[in-house]
Formats: sequence, structure tokens, C-alpha cells
Amino acid sequence: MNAALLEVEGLTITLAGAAGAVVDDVSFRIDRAETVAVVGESGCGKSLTALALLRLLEPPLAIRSGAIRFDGIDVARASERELQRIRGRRIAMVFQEPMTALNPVLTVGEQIVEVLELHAGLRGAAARARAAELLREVEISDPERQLDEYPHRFSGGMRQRVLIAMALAGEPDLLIADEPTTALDVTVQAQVLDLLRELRRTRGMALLLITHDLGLVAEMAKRVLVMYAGRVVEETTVLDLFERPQHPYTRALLAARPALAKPGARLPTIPGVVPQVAHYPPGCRFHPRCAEAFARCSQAVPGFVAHGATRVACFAREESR
Amino acid sequence: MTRSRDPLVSLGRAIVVLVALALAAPLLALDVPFYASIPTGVATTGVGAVPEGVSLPWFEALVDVRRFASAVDRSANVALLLSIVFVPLLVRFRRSPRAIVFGACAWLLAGVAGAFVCECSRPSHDWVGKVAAARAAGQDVRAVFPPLAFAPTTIDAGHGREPPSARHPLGTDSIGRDVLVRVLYGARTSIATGLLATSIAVVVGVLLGAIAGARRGLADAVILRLIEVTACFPGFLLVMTWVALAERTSLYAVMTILGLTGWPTIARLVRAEFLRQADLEYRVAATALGAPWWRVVVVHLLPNACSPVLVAAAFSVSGAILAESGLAFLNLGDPTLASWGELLRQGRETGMLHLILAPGFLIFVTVTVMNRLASVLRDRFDPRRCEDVR
Repeated sequence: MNAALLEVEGLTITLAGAAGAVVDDVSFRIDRAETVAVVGESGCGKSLTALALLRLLEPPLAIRSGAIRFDGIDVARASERELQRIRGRRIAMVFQEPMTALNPVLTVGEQIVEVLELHAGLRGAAARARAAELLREVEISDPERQLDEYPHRFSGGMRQRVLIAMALAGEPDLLIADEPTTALDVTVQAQVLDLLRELRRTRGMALLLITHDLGLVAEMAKRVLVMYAGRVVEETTVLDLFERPQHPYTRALLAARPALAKPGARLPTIPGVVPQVAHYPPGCRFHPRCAEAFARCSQAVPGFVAHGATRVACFAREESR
Repeated sequence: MTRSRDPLVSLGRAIVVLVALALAAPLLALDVPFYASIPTGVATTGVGAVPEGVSLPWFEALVDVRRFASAVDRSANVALLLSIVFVPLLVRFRRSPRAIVFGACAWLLAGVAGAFVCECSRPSHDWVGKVAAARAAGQDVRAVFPPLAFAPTTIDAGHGREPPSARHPLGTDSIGRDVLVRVLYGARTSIATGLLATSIAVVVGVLLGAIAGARRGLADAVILRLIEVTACFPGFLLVMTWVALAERTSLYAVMTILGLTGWPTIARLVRAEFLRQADLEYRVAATALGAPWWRVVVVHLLPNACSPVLVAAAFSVSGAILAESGLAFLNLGDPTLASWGELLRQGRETGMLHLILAPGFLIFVTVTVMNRLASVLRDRFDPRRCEDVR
């Protein structure tokens, strides 16, 4: 296998003032043109991991240890200058909230042109023409006219597409999409996903998809990381995720899909909530909510064990081998 | 679609009229003719002799440091001349707010720069007196004066403390200077004070507020303390103290002190706006797309902080105008400049109504217009009141 596009090793993010690591010892890799999904409940560190990949964490959050190797560059130790050459040009990010991720006082055109000026070396009319082309690519009708509009004139779906257009303007090798469709309604969701898939195919762009929507994972991704309370608990292929989920948390997540609920019955849930950083339990962080937990789970942190193409961090799976 | 009456439009018109009057003052009132054709004789000899032949003395007088001792007046004069270029430009691009703001600033700066580049000093010609004398002597003199042939400093001997008349539409002050002329030139003093004091406050306030809000940490702590300390000094009292200590009162010193005590309000607003934006994703998004931090500040954060600054600036203009009038009223103003407050003071001393009404009315109108503008802008920028979705 050739070198990975992105390789994260032992990424640990801490919150000043809190004892436990918010993101603890996370490792994964993304190959060129590959789609990897990160799933988990809200507050499990998915978005933080994504921000850390671009070194966008701000105090009180900070990367404490770990390596982020992107195409031979150690992002975790890169200077501000090096980071500016990576951000937008090599790795781009589509943010979660289309309503606030666009600057309200600049026109859509100005915002796309800014990226083109920074990364594609385009100026003036050439930049404008390219911006219109990008808008057309993300299927916004009448792009020439829309360039001069302000974001408030756009619907949520259109703004999300503008954000994607901005992210694509630098022709990145890796696109990080943080809940790209959560804020959208279903029909627009499907369009945006089609668009992302299409772009990945035509541009050979890798995609890191952060979501809690398992349906989305099934449609888009090849490999999946399941995160819980700041740790990766299972890394698997999309097929195994649905066919042979290993970790009790993964199984609980899958069981909690509304589609599986019997009509009239209560929707299945995972009892309890993701603990706050300050209250992370010792040992396996999932054990207080885990149906299969036993004494050892609260004493030691489980290491990864391999099951075929799957890595899972669970003592129960260790024993069953 | 019905077009509702927009208070901004009428306020904007009022401001344009005020500024136009202030700029056009020498066009309406100056003791120098636009055009003069003088034969050799009475007019070209003696004290205050004028040059013979055909000339356009008005234009030269505009940048003459003897006629207009204050740079404020000379800048306004140059700006008046440049209006031939800038007014058509502004009218042409009236649809673009950006072009109007840049155009107005360029106009202002060109006026100030022009005043310093082409200043001259001519011997004091007594155009009014010499032309009258030559006419009395039956010579063929041709001279076209502005409607009011008085400068703000012209003392009309024997006409002191006169009520309004055909010669002096608003009467004269206690030493015989025309009130209407002084009111017109006084508008320049007021507007200049408002603009310069506010510009200083805005530049310092935006700069420090942005640094505090963007860099946080130590810079923020230092600037916050500076804001707190500065806000402790009452601007008006500080100006009065300075005037009492200084040997000669200068309007610039007044403006500077008012500006340097006024910036904390603006710095606070900018800082607060930056902190609010810290939580909005477009700030992180801009960084994520590779913009360096200064670019994020200048391109993304500052424009968003504009609206509260604009409101505070409008209030600051009216505050500075009031402060200047108050100083002049207390006889602490710049003695070389015509000022509304100074006329009011004479009115208070003499009890003559015509000295009180015109300047009092103008102070009232100007301050009301600026305050009203500020509150209309504030309502307009208030996100909870954004029914304006045309």
C-alpha cells in the first residue's frame, strides 16, 4: 500500500482546566480519493478532531500530543506560514452551520474570489469567471448574478453549496465536511451528497465526513471511525459496520436508528448521555452505559484488537476471541 | 410597490445642505470680487491698493493665508473649488454607498492637501473700499462681488449691533461684523470640529479595539486598562483646563483633546463586536481557507464592526459640535474662527435676539440631525428589527 494522504497518530486534545483529554489518543489514516466517515453522538470530539487537522483549535483547547502527517508535512508542528499554504489549498473544510459560516457583509462572489486570490493566483476578471464556474459546479443557477448577492439572500441549502464552492476553490486534496447536511432539508441533503460524491470522483479528492447520520455513512463512506467521549472505539469498513458491528457502543448506535423502530413503539435510545469532559469515567469511557460491561472495564483502558478489517477497543471482544 | 418615507433620506438631505452651506460660504460671502477690471487711478494707489487690469482675485483669495488664517477655512475653500470635480462624480455613483464614502473621504483629503500645497500670502487688498472709491471718482470699474461683500472678519465701521437690515440680513454683532456671514463660516468650524474629533476617536478606537478583540491576552488587558483610565477624564473639562493653561487657543488642540478622550467608547464597541464574532463560524472558516490573521481582521471582522462604530461616530460628531460651541460660548474658543457659540455669547452679553436666534437655531438643527441620524442608524442596524427585507 502506498503512503497515506493523511495519517493521524495519537492525537490528544486537552481543555485547559479539565483533567481528562477531550480527544484522547486518536489515530487513523486517509488514503487519496478515499472517503472516511467519523460517527458518534454529539460531544464525542468529532468536530474537535477535524479542527485539529487544520490546527484551528483556540485556547482553552490545544493539541497536547500526537502527530498529524499530511503528505509529508507534520501539521501538528507546522509554522503559521506553512499552515496558510495547507489551509484551503491542500485541506479545505466545509463547516457545519451554513447560516454563520459565511460572512454577512461580503458578497458571495467576494468570498469565493478571496480563496481564489489566496490559492489559485487568480485576480480580477479571471477570478470572477472562475468563481462563477465554481457556483455552476455546485449547481447554483444564474451564477453570474448570484456572485453579487449577499449571503442573507440565499437559502440554507444554497449557502451550504457556496461553502462547498469556497472549499473547492483551492482544489484541495482533502475535504473535511463537518455535518455537511445536518442543517439542510432532505431533498437538498440528497443534492449536496450527490455533489460531494461527484466531486470526489472527478477530482480524486479524499473526503473526511463527520456526521452522526448512519444513513449518510452507508451511502458515502468506505471506512468508518466510531468515536465515543473523545476516543476511537472502533474502526471498520462500512460493510462490517452494518453487518458485524463489534463494539457495544457501535451496536447501540445501530440499534438506535429510527428506521428500525416499530411503528407506535418508543424510539430506541442508548440509556444515559455522553459524559462531560470533567466527568469522564476511568477505564473504558463507555462502561457506565454499556450492557456488556464487567469489572475490568472500569479499571483499565481497553487496547485495540483486530477482527478482520475491524479494530475494536473493547475487553468483551478480547475475551470472545 | 409603495415607497415609504425614509428618515435617512431626509436626514441625509439636511446634512448635505449644511455641508453645502459651509463649503459655499465664500461663494455667498467674501469681500473679494470674482472678477475685477480696474483702471489705473484711485483704486491702484494708497493703503489697500488693488492690482490694476483684469483679474480673478476671488480664486487667489481662497488660499490666501492673510484672508483665511485658519487651515480649516483654506481646506474648505479648496474643497469648494474641487466640488466641480467631486460633485458630478458623487452624483454619478450615488447608487453605490461604497463609492460615496470613498469619494467623500477623497474629497476631504484633497481639500486639506490642496490647502497646504497651494497656499499664498498677498498684501491685503481693500477691494470693497477701493472699488467704491474708484466708482465715486467716476472711473470705469467693473467688479462682481459675492452677494454679501463681507468677510467673516470684516468690521463694518459704524454699523455695530444693528438689527437685521437690507445691508446685513441677520444684523451685525457687537463690533460690526455681519452675523449671516459669521454664521455661514461658523458652520465650517462646527463641522470641522465634529469631523476631526470624531476621526481621531474612530481611528484610535478602531485600532486599539481591534487589537484588543483580535489578539486577546495581554494586549487585551493592557488596552482595557487604558480604556478605563481614559474614560475617567471628562473631555470637556480637560479641554477647558488646557485652554486655561495654553497661551493661545487653537481649534486643533480642542479637536485633538476631544478625539483623544472620545475613543474609549469606540474601542469598547469594536472589541465587543470582535468578541461576539469570535463565536461565529465565518471567522474560523476564513482561517480554515488559508487567510492570514491580519486579513481575517481587516477583511472579515472589521466590516462587521462598522455598524456600531457608525452609530457612535454620529453621536460623537454632535457631541464635538456641542463641545466646540460650549467652549466658544464660554469665550474659550479659537479667536481666529467664526463660531456659532461665540455669536451666542455676544447675544447673551448684549441681550440682542438676532445674535441668539440664528446660531442657536443652527446648533439645534445640526445636533438634532446628527443625533437623529445616529438613532435611525442604530435602529436600522439592530438585528431584532430587520423587517427591512426588500
